[in-house]
Amino acid sequence: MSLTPQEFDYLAKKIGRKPNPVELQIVAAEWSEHCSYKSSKKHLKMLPRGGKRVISGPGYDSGVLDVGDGYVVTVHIESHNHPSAVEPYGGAATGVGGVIRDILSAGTRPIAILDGLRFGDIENDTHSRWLFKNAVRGIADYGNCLGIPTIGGEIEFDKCFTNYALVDVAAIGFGKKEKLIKNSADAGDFVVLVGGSTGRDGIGGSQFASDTLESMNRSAVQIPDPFIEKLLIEAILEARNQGCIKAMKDLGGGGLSCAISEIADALSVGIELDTSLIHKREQDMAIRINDF
Amino acid sequence: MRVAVIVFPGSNCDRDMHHVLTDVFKLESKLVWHTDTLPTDVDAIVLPGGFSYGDRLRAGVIAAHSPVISDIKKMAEKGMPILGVCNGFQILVEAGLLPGALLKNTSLSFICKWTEIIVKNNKTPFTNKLKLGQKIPIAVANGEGRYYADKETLQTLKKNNQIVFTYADDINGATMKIAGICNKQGNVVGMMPHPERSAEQILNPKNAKPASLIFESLLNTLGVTA
Repeated sequence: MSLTPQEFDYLAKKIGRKPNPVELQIVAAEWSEHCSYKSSKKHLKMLPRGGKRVISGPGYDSGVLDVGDGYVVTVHIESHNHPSAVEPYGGAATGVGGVIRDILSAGTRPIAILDGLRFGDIENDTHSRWLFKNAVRGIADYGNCLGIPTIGGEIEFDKCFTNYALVDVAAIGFGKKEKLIKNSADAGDFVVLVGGSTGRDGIGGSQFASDTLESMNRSAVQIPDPFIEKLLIEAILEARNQGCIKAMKDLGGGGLSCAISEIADALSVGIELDTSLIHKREQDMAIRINDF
Repeated sequence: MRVAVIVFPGSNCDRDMHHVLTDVFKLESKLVWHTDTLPTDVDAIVLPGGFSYGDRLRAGVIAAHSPVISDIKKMAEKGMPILGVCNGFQILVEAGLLPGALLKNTSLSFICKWTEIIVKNNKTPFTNKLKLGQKIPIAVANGEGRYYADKETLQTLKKNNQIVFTYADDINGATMKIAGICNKQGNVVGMMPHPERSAEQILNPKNAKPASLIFESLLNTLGVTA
């Protein structure tokens, strides 16, 4: 588990008792670097965050800008470094999938992808070349299948990235201001989990992504499924048009535990969750609480 | 309604095609979901590009078994103009409405670029406003776009004037540089390049006029004066 002893003590003190295993997992995910940006926050805060046209700034799934005439543009960027460094194809592809869902969560249609990439010396180092080739293929295949073009990006190669890769993916969305998903909830509303079935892949993803990359834990990388995501995009935009969605949240590396607790917090509601109702890829999967 | 644009799960050029037909060429068109029956007031059918069923198993092969395909087959027999673009072409081939096969490009990579095709048959409902040998600057984007036909099929294609477009340059290793073909009757046309991405000057880095003639040919066929 990625929780440090200090963090554990802090948590126990705050809640006034020893956290149970489920609470521990949720907090470990939430407090991981991947979810909380605990070490990079101070740098991120230096970037411009407000403005006349900013409808929604940092803190939500994607930033929303008013571009006039009743239209909005949404923007989101995410890194997918650890997964891309151990399984470049799937890591980079699911990086694309992840940012696109954040665009969708605002109720806008994803229209373009950009990426920032860093690799080692691909001319002399075969491993760096393998990472580079497969990460690029992962981004391309995923975007092509969704019909969303990769319109640009930037790349650098340097020896300091040997045995590693930086894969940052950004996505841009477009939509009507009146159709933005406003994020509100009332008692009695239903929470619906849509998307690919939950498998053994990707479990504990955010903590893996935040730890020092010591093991090549490929099972922490999700298996990409752009076809399901394409169906999801169309289904969600249709549901948005029909006014069926009051709030929406993307499941990132923090999985269900983070998505549910974050949305409950943001909407000031409690959420009751029956984990046996989650659609799973395999039988006999249980919530993993002991083996991190 | 005049033109039905068929939407399969994973189609992603459906809205582009609908836009070009409706907004650019003022043809009444409608998106038709693949499990719905084909409306009766349809004069032409377009199968757009994309990744139906995520290209699983083989591009187009699962969509070729969609419920709407049996309606399309009936209309094909009746001589209705039917156009398949990119994945739509792959679906028409997998459905047996067009001969041959579409294989992975020789580079084994997805090709996405501007290219030129040459008109080889200007008798089809989608090429009758074009001149034989006319060059069309057009966008191409596919991974499994290399047209393949065995010797026998190729001879039939040539004999019946079924080769509609060829690439000006060999971009993917296709048999005889074939970019598009039609059935024996000429009413069913399949092409790998994307006319809907190439028929507006704002999108085409060269000349959008030749690609727009593909749609104007359809207007001509349907008796609509542009």
